[in-house]
Amino acid sequence: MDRRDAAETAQRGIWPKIWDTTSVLVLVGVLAVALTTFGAYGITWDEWGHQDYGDRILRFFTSRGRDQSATHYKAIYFYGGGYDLLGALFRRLAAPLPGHEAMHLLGALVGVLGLAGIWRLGRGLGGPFVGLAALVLLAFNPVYYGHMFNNPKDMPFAVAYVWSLHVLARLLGALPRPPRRLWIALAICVGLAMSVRVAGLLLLCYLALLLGIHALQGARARRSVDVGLALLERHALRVVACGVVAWTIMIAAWPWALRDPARPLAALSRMSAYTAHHRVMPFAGERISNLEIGWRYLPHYLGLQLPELVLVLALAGSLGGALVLVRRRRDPRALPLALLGLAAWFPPLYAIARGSVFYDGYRHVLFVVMPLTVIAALALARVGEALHRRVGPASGPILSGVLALHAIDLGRTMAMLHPHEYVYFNRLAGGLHGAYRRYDTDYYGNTFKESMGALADHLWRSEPERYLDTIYRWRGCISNRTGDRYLPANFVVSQAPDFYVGYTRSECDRRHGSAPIIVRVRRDGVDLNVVRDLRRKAAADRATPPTAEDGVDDRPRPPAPRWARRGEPEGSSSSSSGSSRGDDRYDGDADDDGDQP
Amino acid sequence: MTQLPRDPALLVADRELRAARAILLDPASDDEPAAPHLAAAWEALARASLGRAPDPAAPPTIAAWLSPADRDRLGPRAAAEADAILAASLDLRGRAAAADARWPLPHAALERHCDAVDRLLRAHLGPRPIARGRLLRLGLGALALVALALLALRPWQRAGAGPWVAAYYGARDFSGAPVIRREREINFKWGPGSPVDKIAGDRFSARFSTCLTLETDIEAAFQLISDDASRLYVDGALVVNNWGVHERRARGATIDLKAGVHLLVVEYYEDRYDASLTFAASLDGDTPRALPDRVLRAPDDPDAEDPCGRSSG
Repeated sequence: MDRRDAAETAQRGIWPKIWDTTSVLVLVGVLAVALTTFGAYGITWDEWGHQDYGDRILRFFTSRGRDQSATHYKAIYFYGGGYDLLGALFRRLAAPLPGHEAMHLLGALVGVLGLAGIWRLGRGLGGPFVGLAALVLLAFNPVYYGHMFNNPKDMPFAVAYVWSLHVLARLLGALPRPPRRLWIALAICVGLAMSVRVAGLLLLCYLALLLGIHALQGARARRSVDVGLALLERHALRVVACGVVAWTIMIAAWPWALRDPARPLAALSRMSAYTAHHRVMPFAGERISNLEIGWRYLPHYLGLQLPELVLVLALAGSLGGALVLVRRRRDPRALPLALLGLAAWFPPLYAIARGSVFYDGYRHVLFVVMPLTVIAALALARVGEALHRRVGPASGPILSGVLALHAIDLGRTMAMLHPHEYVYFNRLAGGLHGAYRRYDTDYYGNTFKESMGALADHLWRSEPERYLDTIYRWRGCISNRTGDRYLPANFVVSQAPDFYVGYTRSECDRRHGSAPIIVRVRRDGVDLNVVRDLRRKAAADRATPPTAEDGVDDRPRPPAPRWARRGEPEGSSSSSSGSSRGDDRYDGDADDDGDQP
Repeated sequence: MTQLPRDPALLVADRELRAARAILLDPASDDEPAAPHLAAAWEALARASLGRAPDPAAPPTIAAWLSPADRDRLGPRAAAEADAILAASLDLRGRAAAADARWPLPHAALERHCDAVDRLLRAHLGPRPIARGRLLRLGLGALALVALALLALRPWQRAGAGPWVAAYYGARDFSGAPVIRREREINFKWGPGSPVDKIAGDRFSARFSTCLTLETDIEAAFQLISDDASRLYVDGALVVNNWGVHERRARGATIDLKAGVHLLVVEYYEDRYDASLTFAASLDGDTPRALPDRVLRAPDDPDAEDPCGRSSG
């Protein structure tokens, strides 16, 4: 037990021990739930491409560089291959578990590792209660939990980000003499983050900036420029060494970058101006192009998809933290707090200022949820301290009660949404029900597993004899490979389908609007995915040549958006019955197993 | 290694050494303020090493301040450096307030010296004890890792040891020497390829055998989806007939099965172009899917008269 723990124990009695034990129990509990439910999650849009990429990277190494296919694979070669290579190795380890299930298992484990990371970060910054609070607030964040299983980019990056922040905070706390092991740990964590997304370079920028501030503080405190320069000199060498090690780790699993170690800079430049995926999406009741989202996009999604308690506490904590930083601007002990604020607010503010392209809610900035959650936990602890001054030891049970109520509330919602937790919206949006059609819900295709399974069940129950002797034809807004994976062998993809499977993205579920719906994936009273029976319509079509209006949803539409009036390509809007490339390649995705940034 | 009993003087030495190191490692600080802490650390260490305070009349050297065992631990090179630093520390402590108080030694030598003293202290104090809470966390972490490894490796699911015995033939009519293999389920999309290396992608055949064990009488549904021909025999009787050259086609049937062991045999042949074969079954009224491992057992010899050993069982 360190001095801080001892002091806290003396002040708060047995509560610190209870909070630490509870944290471990929460972690074990989440791990147990994740391990027993990972099989329920579907294949998302990004998974096929990243699995192929991982296999290609593995072949690159096993063929000693002769197989170069990983160096020009789709647009994915712009991504570091750390997690993809780990996935390829893990799939071999987990065989005969099917590849996607193995990846969902790995995702669950990595997600829990992220929870452990936020616990350590919170505990390091504010003690056992803050650690527990951060852990509970993140574990019961449905968007984070939902992405744990089948997001091969944003989730591992967020996990590496939070561990990097943890080490960085410890390193700043150990100034002016951080031990060498912290520098090594930081280089490894940042290297791993960069090996998923080169944007992990941000972490080194935070480090350099905060060490610069530390040098400035030293110089001001001692009224000596020499002191500041001495501190800068000392830190600069270590930052450079740290960067070199991190860079080496990043390119070690990235065949494209191994050809020229400077290439990741080109990738950074390209990915920060990513416009390859053009799509139209619902936003605050309008339909907008993701190329023209404006400044409101991220604030809306963060405001409506973070649990209310996290949102309120994170905002209050950020404001309060800013005041503390202003008051303690000469205190080196405030540097970890500055790190947290920087890590939480700089990326989204920079992206908004730069006008970056976003879609799919806030999944691209999932990593900022980690520091935001820790800020919320610190704010809750401050509330607890104020309470402690008023009610004494009773503050412990009160705080624990608040956390427990939050967990119960969100736990119920997550159970209701399972396994589509990431479509969560908070009460400000009116829940999922209120956000339906106004915002993107199932943007990642997780619901197809459920709808396709239900389609087969429905047909088996309603026409068992026919089912045994029939090859059914299907079509839908998901890759053919995913359909093949989730539909039984007596289903084939076809241009003249018997069934159309569609989710709400791009209003795909409204295509073939006159055909009856035979399967619905419903949550919170709304359909996330539907299957339409086209058999009667197909028979009629065979008798009558198709018309231009066939399958068109003819309800009144708002005026065309600006980008459409300018004559830009529309992708697939609700007024078209599928893109010209076919519905299974809908929505502007790069190809059948389209990758998205 | 013989260790001295933990002496409070050692803890004092440890604390003083950390204070000295903090000053030496701070680039914003001069080295000289570390001298009193280093001198105090040496005095405490000498008390612990000799079991008494060093003789104030004796010159401040390692030989006079440490036991022979500790001198050996320190090593000759570090001991020589320590003599100079010890003398300088004591001297500097005496005139710390003086403006001309300067350490006559390079900074790197002082840091090296702190490392050497730290090693000496660790030899006496041993590794820092691990808190119970940390042990608990480590234990839980190790358990989680073991659970993860078991779940990932699933040693109870041995790959290549599925319940179906498959015999692949290089001809359409099940002639020639087959390639024998075990399969976990029958769900193949070979496309234009072949199931095994030694066989061409067209005009091959295969026979799959397994023993199905039922606890109760049931009505079972079986389905074969194949391109080209396939058929299912249950206990020697043709139940599903999907035979002939055709594109992917589904055929199925429902039959009553008594409790006990039943021999299932799926035959398949591929003529030309794409090849695929899927066998699905429903034993409980649910949608047909691959039969679970727990109701299947591989026959010892599929060509024997009683492959599933029903007469003996």
